[in-house]
Amino acid sequence: MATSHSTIVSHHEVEPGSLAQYVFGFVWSLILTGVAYWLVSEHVASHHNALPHRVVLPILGALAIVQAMIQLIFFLHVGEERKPRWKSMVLWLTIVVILIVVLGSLWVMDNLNRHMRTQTEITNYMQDQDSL
Amino acid sequence: MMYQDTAKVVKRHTAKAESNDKTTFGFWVYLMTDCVLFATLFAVYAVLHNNTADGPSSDGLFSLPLVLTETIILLTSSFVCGLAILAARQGRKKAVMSFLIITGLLGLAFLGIELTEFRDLIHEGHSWRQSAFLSSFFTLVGTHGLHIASGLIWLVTLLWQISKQGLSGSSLKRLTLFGMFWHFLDVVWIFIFTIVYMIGSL
Repeated sequence: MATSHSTIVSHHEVEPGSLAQYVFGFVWSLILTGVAYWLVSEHVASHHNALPHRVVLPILGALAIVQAMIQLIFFLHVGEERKPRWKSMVLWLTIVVILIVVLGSLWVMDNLNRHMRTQTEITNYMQDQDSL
Repeated sequence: MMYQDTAKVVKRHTAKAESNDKTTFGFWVYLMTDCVLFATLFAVYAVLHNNTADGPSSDGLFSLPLVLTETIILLTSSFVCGLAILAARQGRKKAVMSFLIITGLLGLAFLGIELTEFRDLIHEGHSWRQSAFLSSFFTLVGTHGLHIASGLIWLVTLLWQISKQGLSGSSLKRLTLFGMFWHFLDVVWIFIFTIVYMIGSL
């Protein structure tokens, strides 16, 4: 790991991307995919009792985010450009938009779900109105 | 003398690099807007994934070994595409062509597995018409598949261009853009793999 890191630094100012970078990104992506798969298959094999969801979910989320970061850095060469870093700026803006869209949708729709009446509640309500 | 030559080469390279920078930046902005498109589809999936309308839920619906195979194939395809770009910088035309053909074949294999999965689901009666969950599943995964399919068409035209013109400036630039597109699709797949298939099977 120490050797591949030094290669990355030395190639930093030449051209984006070196063989060492691609191999590093590929191997780590394989490892992270494998760990996520192993976790889930163990979980399924143990009839969903191996670990509670509140432990597994954050681990899977973290594995995905780390793998995405590795591929962004080592395959898409994010952060290698010189100042002004427009590429990184657009990426950060996109991440903010994505968070607003995804978390906002989940928040609003969850709220709607909570406050929505069930069919029986609606029927009861209508019957109440009729009897008045 | 040696130094002057090197300086000339470096100067020419930076001039070329600057015009390429604008193109790659423009393409990067497109990729980011595509990211937002996928984010909306992920949001739809997250909202609807419990609305199964008495149909199957994501738990136990998918064949996990098949999904792992698919994932490794796409990841390898992305890696080999990177090797093609490295070979192109060294002007190794034959190597570029072979790496790109491998990239394409792996992409085709990925698409084949995905379509088999879709066909089996539909045969079992679990098409997009069955529930809101399945509609959002087919839309999200299908949109990614559509991107892969258009990438494969792009790849064929790129191969044709490189075989005709060699690694000229414009084909090298297009290869760089194709590489960005292909790596980007693999990044999107990480989240489909994790959210739809892994978390969905918990």
